[in-house]
Amino acid sequence: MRRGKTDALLSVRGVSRRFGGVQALEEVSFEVRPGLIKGIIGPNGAGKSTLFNLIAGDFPPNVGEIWFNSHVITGLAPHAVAALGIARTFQTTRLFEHMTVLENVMVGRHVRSRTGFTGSILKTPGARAEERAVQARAGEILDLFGLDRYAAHSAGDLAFGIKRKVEFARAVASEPALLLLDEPAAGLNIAETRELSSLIATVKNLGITVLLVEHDMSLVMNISDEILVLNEGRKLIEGAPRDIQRNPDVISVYLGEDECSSSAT
Amino acid sequence: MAARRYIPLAIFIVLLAVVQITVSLAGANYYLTQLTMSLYYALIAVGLCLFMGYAGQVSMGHAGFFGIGAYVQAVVTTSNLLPFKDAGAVRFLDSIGFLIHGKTTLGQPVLYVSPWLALLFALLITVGIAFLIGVPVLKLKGHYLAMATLGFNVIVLTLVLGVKPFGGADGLSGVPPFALVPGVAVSGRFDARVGNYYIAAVLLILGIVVAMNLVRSRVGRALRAIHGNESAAGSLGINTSRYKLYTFVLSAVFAALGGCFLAHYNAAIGPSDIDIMKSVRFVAIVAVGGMDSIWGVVYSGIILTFISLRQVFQSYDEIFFALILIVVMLFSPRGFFRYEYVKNALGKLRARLRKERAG
Ligand SMILES: Nc1ncnc2c1ncn2[C@@H]1O[C@H](COP(=O)(O)OP(=O)(O)OP(=O)(O)O)[C@@H](O)[C@H]1O
Ligand SMILES: [Mg+2]
Repeated sequence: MRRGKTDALLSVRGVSRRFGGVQALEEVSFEVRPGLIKGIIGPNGAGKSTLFNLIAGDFPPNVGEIWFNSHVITGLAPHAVAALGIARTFQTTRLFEHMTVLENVMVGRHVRSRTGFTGSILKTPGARAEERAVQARAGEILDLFGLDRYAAHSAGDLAFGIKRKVEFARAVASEPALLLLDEPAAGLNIAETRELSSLIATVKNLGITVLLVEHDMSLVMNISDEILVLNEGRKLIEGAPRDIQRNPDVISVYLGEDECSSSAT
Repeated sequence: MAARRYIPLAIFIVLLAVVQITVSLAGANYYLTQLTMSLYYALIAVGLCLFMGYAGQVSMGHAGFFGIGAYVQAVVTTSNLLPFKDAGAVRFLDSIGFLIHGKTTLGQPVLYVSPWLALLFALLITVGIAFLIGVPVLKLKGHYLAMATLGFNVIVLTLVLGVKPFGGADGLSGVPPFALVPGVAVSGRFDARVGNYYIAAVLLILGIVVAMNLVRSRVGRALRAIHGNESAAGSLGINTSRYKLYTFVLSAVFAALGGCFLAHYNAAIGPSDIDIMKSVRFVAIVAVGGMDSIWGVVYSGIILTFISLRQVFQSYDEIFFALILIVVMLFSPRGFFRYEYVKNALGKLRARLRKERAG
């Protein structure tokens, strides 16, 4: 049996994925070391979200393997990947709109609790105690994110920026080892982006490793420990933020894309 | 907080008693027959509410599960085992008290399986079939799922009509009373009407409590999450296909349980009880009740079934249910009898009264 002996938390090895005629990812390999924030940047259509979907188990890669905590996770269903400690947010927010903010975050505790059908129906003392613990922990997470005053609000009624924050809080509630954030700053105003940046730092301090896809360059450059650049499905370069900013290839990719990215923001 | 949950339950119990007492005092006990049947149908609707309103799926085949319960119960409790009384299995069941020695109306001795054992058997078969059907079918969504479950209902109906022991077009009759405890039996006897009304009420209340506990739990939250956004639910570690499957099976058990008891209560079961229009009816009841409102579904189940059994619509009964389904879908897809609607209306009324008093 092959061993994935490495000090990386996540290791993506030669992963490719095609959709019909589109080669969304081609031979992408990289590692994420624990405790760091790794930024992923690249023009629209570079394959960033596809990469997240592959890691999260939405669909398998055509070629390549993904290792997490020295387990192969390629081919696992999303819920199984989540159970191993990977949480995510989506590029377009996916909240449970008819549930309250507190309930949304309580769903985030799913992998950290275990009451099943029988325990729920019989309302066993264990089930009750667990339910109280889930609610208490979700309340703490809401406090941490400054969302406590929205606890009883229906998630569907919230302003856009708050919705994004709830989705972030819901993912953090599962206390994952690895958190995938797909363009968390998209659509946020300057104040909200600043708050997001400090929340990501807070999450890092909780010991959660973060993989961050982001178009907001100042955010991603300031907060990331390392950066990976994707372009047209391929890895262009990987390195420290200051080296990436100066890299001529990166500059030319982004200059060529200048109109696109400025119209997108 | 916890006590407030039980207020609707207390109200419901009081209402049930008030209805019975009023009906009996008015000397109109014949109403109790239809009311009792309505309570059993409401139980089925509560189960379907879990699958539709909470897990956000659809089943147009629950009359099929109702039929499996009722028919298995009827076949098992009406098969005379006397000719096989020397077979090892029959002797064993007899020795542990699971067989009943009785007499036909003509006074001939017969040997029947105890309804309790039949019930266990019927529910196990239902669970097995629900798993077998659920695993492939629940991969589908929306209309596809509706079509596939409808197909299941058609298969059950066709089998019942075609397989001889199920009685064909005549169905099965002569289902004996089901003695739950000595002196208390599920049966349609005239002098047992009041007792049977309360048997059905107790079963329905148990079903409501099971459903309420389930929806207010980690599992219920997971189901609503699946309903809200299946991919997000999966990304948070919810095994969406397993939760949908278990809920499907549980709702099938509710339907089968209703079928088992009704088979004893009516002493009969026939193919017209399990055709696809009955499945449409269950869906209509859940839709009117507000999909994810257990109490709404309880009341809509009782009221609509009762109206229908009173033959208010005569031969237009099926049209009535199809029509209300269309109306609900067009004008109020989240149902009519929603608690929040009542609450909002009361709130508005209160605000207006306050204003009038102030002004
Ligand atoms: N599920 C899918 N089915 C078909 N094509 C897809 C699918 N997901 C992604 N693609 C295609 O793969 C390519 C990469 O898309 P992806 O969403 O990964 O890009 P991205 O880097 O996240 O872009 P953006 O910055 O716009 O979010 C695009 O051409 C896209 O159209
Ligand atoms: Mg993307």
